[in-house]
Amino acid sequence: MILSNVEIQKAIDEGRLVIAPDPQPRACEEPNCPYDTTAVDLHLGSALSIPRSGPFNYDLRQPGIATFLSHNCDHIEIPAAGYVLAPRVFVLGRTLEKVTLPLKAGQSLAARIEGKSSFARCGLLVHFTAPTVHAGFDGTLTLEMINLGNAGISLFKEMPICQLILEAVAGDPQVHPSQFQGQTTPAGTSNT
Amino acid sequence: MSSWLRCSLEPGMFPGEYAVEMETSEAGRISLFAPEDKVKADQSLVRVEVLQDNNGGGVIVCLPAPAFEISSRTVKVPQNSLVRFE
Repeated sequence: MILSNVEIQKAIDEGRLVIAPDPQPRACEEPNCPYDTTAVDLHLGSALSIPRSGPFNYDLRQPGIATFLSHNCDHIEIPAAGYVLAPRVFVLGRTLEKVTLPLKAGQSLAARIEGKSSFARCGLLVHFTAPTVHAGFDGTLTLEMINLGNAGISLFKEMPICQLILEAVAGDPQVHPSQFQGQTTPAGTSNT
Repeated sequence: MSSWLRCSLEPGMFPGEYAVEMETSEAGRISLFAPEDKVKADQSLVRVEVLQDNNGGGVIVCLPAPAFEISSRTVKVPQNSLVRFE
Protein backbone atom coordinates (compact mmCIF):
# COMPACT_ATOMS: atom_id res chain seq x y z
CA MET A 1 0.00 0.00 0.00
CA ILE A 2 1.41 3.38 -1.01
CA LEU A 3 1.42 6.00 1.74
CA SER A 4 -0.32 9.33 1.23
CA ASN A 5 1.52 12.53 2.08
CA VAL A 6 -0.38 12.63 5.39
CA GLU A 7 0.74 9.08 6.20
CA ILE A 8 4.33 9.88 5.18
CA GLN A 9 4.37 12.78 7.62
CA LYS A 10 2.81 10.58 10.32
CA ALA A 11 5.52 7.96 9.74
CA ILE A 12 8.18 10.66 10.16
CA ASP A 13 6.57 11.88 13.37
CA GLU A 14 6.44 8.30 14.72
CA GLY A 15 10.04 7.49 13.81
CA ARG A 16 9.11 4.81 11.25
CA LEU A 17 10.76 6.96 8.58
CA VAL A 18 13.62 9.40 8.94
CA ILE A 19 14.46 11.89 6.21
CA ALA A 20 17.25 14.27 7.16
CA PRO A 21 16.95 17.17 6.66
CA ASP A 22 13.22 16.94 7.29
CA PRO A 23 11.22 17.87 4.17
CA GLN A 24 9.55 21.22 4.74
CA PRO A 25 7.09 22.86 4.45
CA ARG A 26 4.48 20.18 5.01
CA ALA A 27 1.33 22.02 4.05
CA CYS A 28 0.67 21.64 0.34
CA GLU A 29 -0.71 25.17 0.06
CA GLU A 30 2.68 26.61 1.02
CA PRO A 31 5.24 27.51 -1.68
CA ASN A 32 7.92 24.91 -2.43
CA CYS A 33 6.14 22.16 -0.52
CA PRO A 34 8.08 18.98 -1.35
CA TYR A 35 5.06 16.73 -0.83
CA ASP A 36 2.84 15.49 -3.62
CA THR A 37 -0.25 13.44 -2.81
CA THR A 38 1.68 10.15 -2.57
CA ALA A 39 5.36 11.12 -2.65
CA VAL A 40 7.95 13.45 -1.24
CA ASP A 41 10.64 15.15 -3.30
CA LEU A 42 14.31 14.62 -2.53
CA HIS A 43 17.10 16.95 -3.62
CA LEU A 44 20.39 16.54 -5.45
CA GLY A 45 23.51 16.53 -3.31
CA SER A 46 26.58 18.46 -4.38
CA ALA A 47 28.83 15.54 -5.40
CA LEU A 48 28.84 13.75 -8.73
CA SER A 49 30.88 10.72 -9.68
CA ILE A 50 31.58 10.31 -13.37
CA PRO A 51 32.73 6.86 -14.50
CA ARG A 52 35.59 6.98 -17.00
CA SER A 53 35.66 5.12 -20.24
CA GLY A 54 38.68 2.98 -20.91
CA PRO A 55 40.00 -0.23 -22.37
CA PHE A 56 38.28 -2.40 -19.79
CA ASN A 57 35.05 -4.23 -19.08
CA TYR A 58 33.33 -4.50 -15.75
CA ASP A 59 33.27 -8.04 -14.37
CA LEU A 60 31.47 -8.05 -11.04
CA ARG A 61 32.82 -11.51 -10.21
CA GLN A 62 36.38 -10.24 -10.17
CA PRO A 63 37.71 -9.45 -6.67
CA GLY A 64 37.91 -5.79 -5.76
CA ILE A 65 35.36 -4.30 -8.15
CA ALA A 66 34.47 -1.55 -5.64
CA THR A 67 38.07 -0.37 -5.61
CA PHE A 68 38.26 -0.63 -9.39
CA LEU A 69 35.15 1.54 -9.77
CA SER A 70 36.60 4.10 -7.37
CA HIS A 71 39.88 4.26 -9.27
CA ASN A 72 38.11 4.74 -12.60
CA CYS A 73 35.83 7.68 -11.93
CA ASP A 74 36.15 11.43 -11.64
CA HIS A 75 34.71 13.33 -8.71
CA ILE A 76 33.23 16.77 -9.13
CA GLU A 77 31.38 19.20 -6.91
CA ILE A 78 28.52 20.83 -8.77
CA PRO A 79 29.46 24.49 -9.21
CA ALA A 80 27.03 27.30 -8.43
CA ALA A 81 26.52 27.80 -12.16
CA GLY A 82 25.43 24.18 -12.45
CA TYR A 83 26.76 21.09 -14.23
CA VAL A 84 25.54 20.41 -17.74
CA LEU A 85 24.85 16.74 -18.27
CA ALA A 86 25.55 16.20 -21.95
CA PRO A 87 23.44 13.84 -24.07
CA ARG A 88 24.27 10.14 -23.58
CA VAL A 89 26.47 10.84 -20.56
CA PHE A 90 26.09 8.71 -17.44
CA VAL A 91 26.91 10.02 -13.99
CA LEU A 92 26.21 8.98 -10.42
CA GLY A 93 24.75 11.42 -7.94
CA ARG A 94 23.39 11.23 -4.46
CA THR A 95 20.43 12.69 -2.67
CA LEU A 96 21.06 15.53 -0.30
CA GLU A 97 18.80 13.80 2.19
CA LYS A 98 19.72 10.79 4.27
CA VAL A 99 16.86 8.30 4.38
CA THR A 100 16.38 5.75 7.15
CA LEU A 101 13.75 3.01 7.08
CA PRO A 102 14.01 1.42 10.54
CA LEU A 103 12.99 -2.20 10.90
CA LYS A 104 10.11 -2.17 13.34
CA ALA A 105 7.97 -5.21 13.93
CA GLY A 106 4.74 -4.89 12.01
CA GLN A 107 5.47 -1.29 11.04
CA SER A 108 8.40 -1.42 8.60
CA LEU A 109 8.36 0.67 5.47
CA ALA A 110 10.08 0.24 2.12
CA ALA A 111 10.37 2.83 -0.60
CA ARG A 112 10.91 3.39 -4.29
CA ILE A 113 12.75 6.20 -5.91
CA GLU A 114 11.18 7.65 -9.02
CA GLY A 115 12.07 10.39 -11.45
CA LYS A 116 10.17 13.61 -11.95
CA SER A 117 8.05 14.07 -15.03
CA SER A 118 9.49 17.53 -15.74
CA PHE A 119 13.00 16.07 -16.08
CA ALA A 120 11.68 13.06 -17.95
CA ARG A 121 10.34 15.33 -20.68
CA CYS A 122 13.90 16.60 -21.18
CA GLY A 123 15.25 13.06 -21.39
CA LEU A 124 16.77 12.71 -17.92
CA LEU A 125 16.64 9.41 -16.10
CA VAL A 126 17.59 9.67 -12.42
CA HIS A 127 17.42 5.93 -11.87
CA PHE A 128 17.02 3.16 -14.34
CA THR A 129 17.53 -0.14 -12.64
CA ALA A 130 17.66 0.05 -8.87
CA PRO A 131 14.65 1.96 -7.53
CA THR A 132 13.99 -0.10 -4.41
CA VAL A 133 14.94 1.19 -0.98
CA HIS A 134 14.70 -1.83 1.27
CA ALA A 135 13.32 -1.86 4.79
CA GLY A 136 16.27 -1.37 7.13
CA PHE A 137 18.11 0.94 4.73
CA ASP A 138 20.04 3.85 6.21
CA GLY A 139 21.93 6.34 4.07
CA THR A 140 21.81 8.68 1.12
CA LEU A 141 20.34 7.33 -2.11
CA THR A 142 22.57 6.88 -5.12
CA LEU A 143 21.12 8.21 -8.36
CA GLU A 144 22.04 6.59 -11.66
CA MET A 145 21.59 9.52 -14.00
CA ILE A 146 21.75 9.55 -17.76
CA ASN A 147 20.64 12.09 -20.30
CA LEU A 148 18.77 10.35 -23.09
CA GLY A 149 17.66 13.62 -24.65
CA ASN A 150 19.27 15.54 -27.48
CA ALA A 151 20.32 18.63 -25.51
CA GLY A 152 22.31 19.18 -22.35
CA ILE A 153 20.47 19.30 -19.03
CA SER A 154 21.67 21.65 -16.28
CA LEU A 155 21.95 20.08 -12.85
CA PHE A 156 22.17 22.23 -9.73
CA LYS A 157 22.94 21.17 -6.20
CA GLU A 158 19.91 21.06 -3.93
CA MET A 159 17.46 21.05 -6.83
CA PRO A 160 14.46 18.69 -6.47
CA ILE A 161 15.70 15.70 -8.45
CA CYS A 162 13.53 12.71 -7.62
CA GLN A 163 10.58 11.58 -5.58
CA LEU A 164 10.35 8.97 -2.88
CA ILE A 165 7.30 6.74 -2.70
CA LEU A 166 6.72 4.94 0.59
CA GLU A 167 5.07 1.57 0.95
CA ALA A 168 4.03 -0.44 4.00
CA VAL A 169 5.74 -3.82 4.32
CA ALA A 170 3.31 -6.69 4.87
CA GLY A 171 4.70 -9.07 7.48
CA ASP A 172 8.14 -8.86 9.08
CA PRO A 173 11.29 -9.48 7.03
CA GLN A 174 13.64 -12.21 8.19
CA VAL A 175 16.69 -10.47 9.60
CA HIS A 176 19.11 -10.74 12.47
CA PRO A 177 17.38 -9.55 15.68
CA SER A 178 19.98 -6.81 16.15
CA GLN A 179 18.76 -5.18 12.94
CA PHE A 180 15.40 -4.40 14.49
CA GLN A 181 15.14 -0.93 15.90
CA GLY A 182 12.63 0.04 18.52
CA GLN A 183 10.89 -1.92 21.16
CA THR A 184 10.03 -5.32 19.83
CA THR A 185 11.31 -7.83 17.32
CA PRO A 186 9.05 -10.35 15.58
CA ALA A 187 10.32 -12.87 18.14
CA GLY A 188 9.02 -10.62 20.87
CA THR A 189 12.39 -9.74 22.38
CA SER A 190 13.33 -6.22 23.23
CA ASN A 191 16.63 -4.77 22.13
CA THR A 192 16.34 -1.14 23.11
CA MET B 1 30.22 -4.76 22.17
CA SER B 2 30.85 -3.86 18.54
CA SER B 3 32.41 -6.12 15.93
CA TRP B 4 34.76 -5.02 13.18
CA LEU B 5 36.46 -6.79 10.31
CA ARG B 6 40.03 -6.29 9.13
CA CYS B 7 39.97 -4.93 5.58
CA SER B 8 41.70 -2.61 3.16
CA LEU B 9 40.17 0.80 2.60
CA GLU B 10 40.42 3.30 -0.21
CA PRO B 11 38.38 6.41 -1.01
CA GLY B 12 35.10 5.44 -2.71
CA MET B 13 33.17 7.00 -5.57
CA PHE B 14 31.79 9.79 -3.37
CA PRO B 15 33.09 11.93 -0.52
CA GLY B 16 32.45 10.22 2.79
CA GLU B 17 32.45 6.79 1.18
CA TYR B 18 35.07 4.03 1.21
CA ALA B 19 35.81 1.16 -1.13
CA VAL B 20 36.28 -1.79 1.21
CA GLU B 21 38.01 -5.08 0.39
CA MET B 22 38.30 -8.12 2.62
CA GLU B 23 39.17 -11.79 2.58
CA THR B 24 36.45 -14.33 3.27
CA SER B 25 36.58 -17.99 4.24
CA GLU B 26 34.83 -19.40 1.20
CA ALA B 27 34.19 -16.58 -1.31
CA GLY B 28 37.69 -15.25 -1.82
CA ARG B 29 38.30 -11.53 -1.79
CA ILE B 30 35.19 -9.38 -1.90
CA SER B 31 34.48 -5.65 -2.02
CA LEU B 32 31.76 -3.15 -1.23
CA PHE B 33 31.13 0.51 -0.59
CA ALA B 34 30.63 1.67 2.98
CA PRO B 35 29.88 5.09 4.47
CA GLU B 36 32.54 6.61 6.68
CA ASP B 37 30.54 5.99 9.85
CA LYS B 38 30.87 2.24 9.22
CA VAL B 39 34.67 2.17 9.08
CA LYS B 40 37.63 2.94 11.29
CA ALA B 41 39.90 4.32 8.60
CA ASP B 42 42.94 4.67 10.84
CA GLN B 43 42.74 0.98 11.81
CA SER B 44 41.53 -0.47 8.48
CA LEU B 45 38.36 -1.91 10.00
CA VAL B 46 34.77 -2.11 8.78
CA ARG B 47 31.77 -2.53 11.07
CA VAL B 48 29.90 -5.85 10.88
CA GLU B 49 27.20 -7.68 12.80
CA VAL B 50 28.13 -11.18 13.96
CA LEU B 51 25.34 -13.57 13.02
CA GLN B 52 26.98 -16.86 13.99
CA ASP B 53 30.29 -17.66 15.67
CA ASN B 54 31.42 -21.21 14.97
CA ASN B 55 34.23 -21.16 17.54
CA GLY B 56 37.23 -21.55 15.29
CA GLY B 57 35.26 -22.71 12.29
CA GLY B 58 34.78 -19.20 10.98
CA VAL B 59 32.32 -16.44 11.75
CA ILE B 60 29.26 -15.55 9.71
CA VAL B 61 28.82 -11.80 9.60
CA CYS B 62 26.44 -9.28 8.12
CA LEU B 63 28.26 -6.60 6.11
CA PRO B 64 27.18 -2.95 6.01
CA ALA B 65 26.27 -3.32 2.30
CA PRO B 66 26.05 -6.15 -0.23
CA ALA B 67 29.41 -7.18 -1.67
CA PHE B 68 29.65 -6.92 -5.44
CA GLU B 69 31.23 -10.31 -5.97
CA ILE B 70 28.64 -12.35 -4.04
CA SER B 71 25.57 -10.08 -4.22
CA SER B 72 24.98 -10.60 -0.51
CA ARG B 73 25.58 -8.95 2.87
CA THR B 74 26.10 -12.28 4.63
CA VAL B 75 29.46 -13.99 4.40
CA LYS B 76 31.75 -16.32 6.36
CA VAL B 77 35.08 -14.85 7.45
CA PRO B 78 38.09 -16.24 9.32
CA GLN B 79 37.93 -15.91 13.11
CA ASN B 80 41.21 -13.99 13.23
CA SER B 81 39.92 -11.27 10.89
CA LEU B 82 37.38 -10.15 13.47
CA VAL B 83 38.08 -7.48 16.08
CA ARG B 84 35.73 -6.83 18.97
CA PHE B 85 35.53 -3.67 21.07
CA GLU B 86 33.75 -3.34 24.40
